[in-house]
Amino acid sequence: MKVALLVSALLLVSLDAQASTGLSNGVSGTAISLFLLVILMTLGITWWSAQRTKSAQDFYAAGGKITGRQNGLAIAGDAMSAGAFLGLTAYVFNSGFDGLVYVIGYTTGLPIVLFLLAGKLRKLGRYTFTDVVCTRLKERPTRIFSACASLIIVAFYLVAQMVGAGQLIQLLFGIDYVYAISLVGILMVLYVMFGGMVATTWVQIIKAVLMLSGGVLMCILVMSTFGFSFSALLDQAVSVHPAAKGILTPGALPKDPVSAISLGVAMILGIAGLPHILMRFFTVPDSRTARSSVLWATIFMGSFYSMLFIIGFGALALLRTSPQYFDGAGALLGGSNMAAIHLAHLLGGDVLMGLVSAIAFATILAVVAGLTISGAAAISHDIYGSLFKHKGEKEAKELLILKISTLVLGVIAVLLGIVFRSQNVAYMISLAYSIACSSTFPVLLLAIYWSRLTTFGAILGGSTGLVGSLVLTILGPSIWVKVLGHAAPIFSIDPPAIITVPLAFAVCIVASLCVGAKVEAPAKSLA
Amino acid sequence: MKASYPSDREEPVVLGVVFAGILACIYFSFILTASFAPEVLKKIAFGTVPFSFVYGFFVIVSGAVLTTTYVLYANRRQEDRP
Repeated sequence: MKVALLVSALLLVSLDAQASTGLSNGVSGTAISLFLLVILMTLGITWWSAQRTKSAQDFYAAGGKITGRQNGLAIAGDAMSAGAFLGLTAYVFNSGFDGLVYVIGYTTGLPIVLFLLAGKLRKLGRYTFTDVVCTRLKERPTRIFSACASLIIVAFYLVAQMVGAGQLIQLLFGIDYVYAISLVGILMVLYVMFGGMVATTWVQIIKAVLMLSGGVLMCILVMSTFGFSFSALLDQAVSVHPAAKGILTPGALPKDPVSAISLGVAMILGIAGLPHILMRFFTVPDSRTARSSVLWATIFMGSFYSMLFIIGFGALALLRTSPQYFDGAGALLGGSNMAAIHLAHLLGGDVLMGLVSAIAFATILAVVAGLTISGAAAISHDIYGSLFKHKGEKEAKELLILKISTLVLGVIAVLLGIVFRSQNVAYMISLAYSIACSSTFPVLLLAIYWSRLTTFGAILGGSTGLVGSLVLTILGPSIWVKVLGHAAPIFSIDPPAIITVPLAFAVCIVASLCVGAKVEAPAKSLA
Repeated sequence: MKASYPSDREEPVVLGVVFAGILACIYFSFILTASFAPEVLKKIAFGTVPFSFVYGFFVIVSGAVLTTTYVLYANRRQEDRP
C-alpha cells in the first residue's frame, strides 16, 4: 500500500512539475510507463520479501539461504551499478579508451577477493566482515574502527549511485535535480526498511538478469548499425571525436603514470574492502557456495563489462552525430552520465529507453539498498549490537536501530548527492575503492593471514589508511578542485592508493611488532 | 604464507596467493605498458582495432579463467576431504 502510494506520488509530482514549470524533455508516456512498471515490480518483490524477513539473520544475511548462482548474480548486480553502466558509458563517450581503463580494472577485483578472502570470510563471519576480524582482535576498538571505515566507504559509493539516479529521474520526468534525488532517497529507505537483505538480494538478481539482457540487446543493435564490424564502429568513433585516433588508446595514463598505477592499485584491491560486497558472502550456507558465487559473479560481470566496449564506443560513435541529444551549449541533455540512456533511445526509441532507464534505476535502488544495509549494519550490529546491547535484550531493538540508521543514511546520501551532482559517477566509485583498499582491506587480510597482528597495530594501521586516504582524496583534484573550486590540488596523486595502501600495511605491521607488543599480548590464535 | 586457522586445511592458500599474483602481474603489465610505452598499445592487432582493446580484453578473460580454475580446484579439494 505504502509502495503504491509512493509510486503514485512520484508520478504526480513529476507531472505536476512538468505542468507548472513548462519543462518537457520529450520523453514519452511509453518510456515512463515502462519505467514505472519495472519499479513497481521491484517494489512488489520488496513487499514479498518483507513477509519473509523475521529475524536479524534474515535481515542482515537473507537467512544464509541464497544459492551460489543466485548470490553470484546478486554480487554481479552490486558491481553492475550505476557507476558501471551509466558512468562508464559516459566516460567512454567523453574520453574513449580512458573509460575502458576503468572497465578493465573493475573486473580484476572480484577474483582477488576469491583468491585471498572468500572462503575464510564465510567460515569465520556471521553478518559483516568485522565479525571475521573480531575472531582475532579485541572486539570493542575493532568494531568502532570497522564501523567508521564502513560508513565512510559506503558514503562515497552511495553518493555515486545517488548522483546517477538523480540525473536519470531528472531526465525522465523533467523535474528539478533536488526533487529527483529526494525521491530516490525515499525509495531507497523504503526498500531497506521493509525488505532487508532478502529484498535487496532478489532485486539484485532480477535486475542483473534484466541488465545483462538489456546489454546484449544494445550490443546487437549497435553492432548491426555497423554491419557487425567492430573495426567499422571504431572508424566511425574516430571520425566524430575531436581526439581522433587518440580515443583508441589510454590517453590519461601516460600523462600521469603515478596516478595511473595508483588507480590500478585501487581498482584491483578496492573491492576486497567494500563492506556491501563482503557482506554477500554471509548470505550463502557455506564456503563452497561462497566460492561458486564468485565464479558466477565473475562470469556475469566479465560478460557485462565486455559489452561496455561496444556500448561505450557505440554511444561515442552514434550520439555525437545526433544533435537532438545535445542542448544549445553542446552538452548532452541531462548531463554526460545519461549517454547510455540516450543511446538506448537512439537504438530502440521510447520502448528501449524506458526499459533501459528502468533497469538502470532498479540497479541503482538495489545497489543503494545493499550499501545502506551494510552502512546501517555497521551502526546497529557492529556498534550498538556489540557494544551497547545488554544481555537478554530483544533482537527487535537492534533492528529498530538499523531502521533508524537507514533513515539517517538516506538523508545524508541525498545531501551529499546534491553536493557532488556534477561528478562522473564511475570516477567517484574509484575514490570509494581507494579508501576501501587503504583501510578495511589491510586489516582484514592481515587478520586472516598474519598471526602476529595485534589489535593496536590493526586499529592504528587501518585508521592511518582510512584518514590518510580520506584527507588526500579531499586535497586531491576530485574534491579540492572539482567540488571546492580551488585552482590546483594540494595533493596531485589521484586516487592516493599508491601511498595509503602500503602505508596502512606498514603501520599495521610495525605497530604490531613494536608498540603493540608492549601494551598488549599478541592477538589470540585460532590455530 | 603461514596458515592461521584450522579451516585453512580446506583452503588452497598457496594457489590463491599465486593466482592473485598472476592476475596482478597481467593487470599491472597493462597499466605500466599504457603509462610508459603507450606506442605498443597503438599498434594494430586486426582490422583497425589496436592492441589496447585486445590487451584489455585479455585482462578480463584472464580473471575469468583463473577464477574458474581456482573454484573448480578448491571445491573439489573440499569435497575429497573427510
